[in-house]
Amino acid sequence: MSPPRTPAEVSPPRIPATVLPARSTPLTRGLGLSALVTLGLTTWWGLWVSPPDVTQGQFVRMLYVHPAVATMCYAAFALCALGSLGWLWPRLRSPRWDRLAVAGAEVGAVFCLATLVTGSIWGRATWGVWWTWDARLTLTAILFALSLGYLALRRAIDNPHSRSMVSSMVAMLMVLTVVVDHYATQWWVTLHQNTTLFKPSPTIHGWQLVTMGMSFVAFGLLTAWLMVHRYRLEGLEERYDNEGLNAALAARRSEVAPAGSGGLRPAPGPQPVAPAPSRQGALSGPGAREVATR
Amino acid sequence: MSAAQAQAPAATQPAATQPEGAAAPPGAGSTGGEHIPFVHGPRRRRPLASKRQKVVAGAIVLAALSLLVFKGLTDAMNYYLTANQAVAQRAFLANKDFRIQGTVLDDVRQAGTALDFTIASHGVEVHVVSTGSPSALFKPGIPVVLAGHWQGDIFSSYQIMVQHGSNYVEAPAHHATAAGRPGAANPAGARRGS
Repeated sequence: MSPPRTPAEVSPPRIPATVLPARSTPLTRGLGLSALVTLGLTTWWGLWVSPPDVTQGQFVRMLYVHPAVATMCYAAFALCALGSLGWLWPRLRSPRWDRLAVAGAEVGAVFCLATLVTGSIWGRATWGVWWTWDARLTLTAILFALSLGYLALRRAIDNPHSRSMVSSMVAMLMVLTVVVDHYATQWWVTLHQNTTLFKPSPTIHGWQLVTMGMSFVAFGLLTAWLMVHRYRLEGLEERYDNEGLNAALAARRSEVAPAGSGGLRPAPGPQPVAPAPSRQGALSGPGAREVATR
Repeated sequence: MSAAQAQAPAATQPAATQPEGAAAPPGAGSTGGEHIPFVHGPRRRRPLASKRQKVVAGAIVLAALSLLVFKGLTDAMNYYLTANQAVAQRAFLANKDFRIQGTVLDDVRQAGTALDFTIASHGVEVHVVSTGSPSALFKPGIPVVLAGHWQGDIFSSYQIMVQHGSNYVEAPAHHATAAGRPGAANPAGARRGS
């Protein structure tokens, strides 16, 4: 029978308690609040202040949702690609880049779905069809399928290194699709219109331009707020996993070496398991050296 | 607490000679039980149940994606032919389905359940009979994309899609109500069934 292992042999690296803030901070609250205010302004201006369009009439109001949502979808996937590149770059490699990648992919997938839904509604109103296989729509559908594949991959691969490696490569494919999707209306003939805002002289003016600009600010702030929290959440989930391992090790340790711990010093947090009754005294057992080394 | 502290020096005397305390390098075991906030259940990320399931799931995703890409790319690259291109390729197109694009001229009229009108692109006109029901924006002067095929000199269409450009112009205030309902601004008879 092998002797019980000492804590020094089984201890995982210590996870600092303050890796990331566990709650929102004044900065994130400010970001969320400004997103809410600008979304409110967009709604007000979009529905009541800005006038109808000569060609599209009231349907033009989708202009204050759909392009901004689609652009934020692209931006989130670009951040996902940035995080993946950072992780793939050997000198920069750190879990932070991977967190940025997963946050970008998840926020991007949500905005991609929102793009498809709002575009479909607008398409039914103006074109007369919910869907058609033109280059822009097809590539957006492919992008959404890729993003779901990316998220499924992250769930399927348990080894963190392989997970980050494989998903980084899918992220590169996604950002390539984003670039082709962006230029699709210029490279091929499409039912989808070409760009209105992002060109030297935008073909939109007055309240329509102001409201469309505000929609970009609003959805930009919303994206930033979602990204910050998703990034933070990913860090917390990593910590949760690691501390779960710590707790399991501590439980196992108390099984193999039942000795009193913390007798000299009250522990700051709740103990995972009730300390076994002391047989040898308070300064022996796993807890003793920890107290001694501080 | 004080009782335990009082007992401690006496009780640890024999323990100091144990290999456990002596073998550990100083500072090595700093994690300890004190910094563990909770014990929780199963881990967040579980692998899929089996390798076979992973392969099947991967194959399904790959097949769906390939279908999407194939279907999409073949259709999307040549989404439509303009009216002049369609006329030039009439012999080649025969009675195959394709999409044609052009601007609706002024001669829109209802013919039974179908719409009868003419589209033009680059000076070439095509007579269209369509059973499709267009959106409210349909009116003379607007570009449309029609799905269908040649039937002699006439383009027989089953779907009308209204194209709109990237230019936006605010409707003048006094026209706001009329422009607010796009269909209402259209000439009478432009919409099927209206």
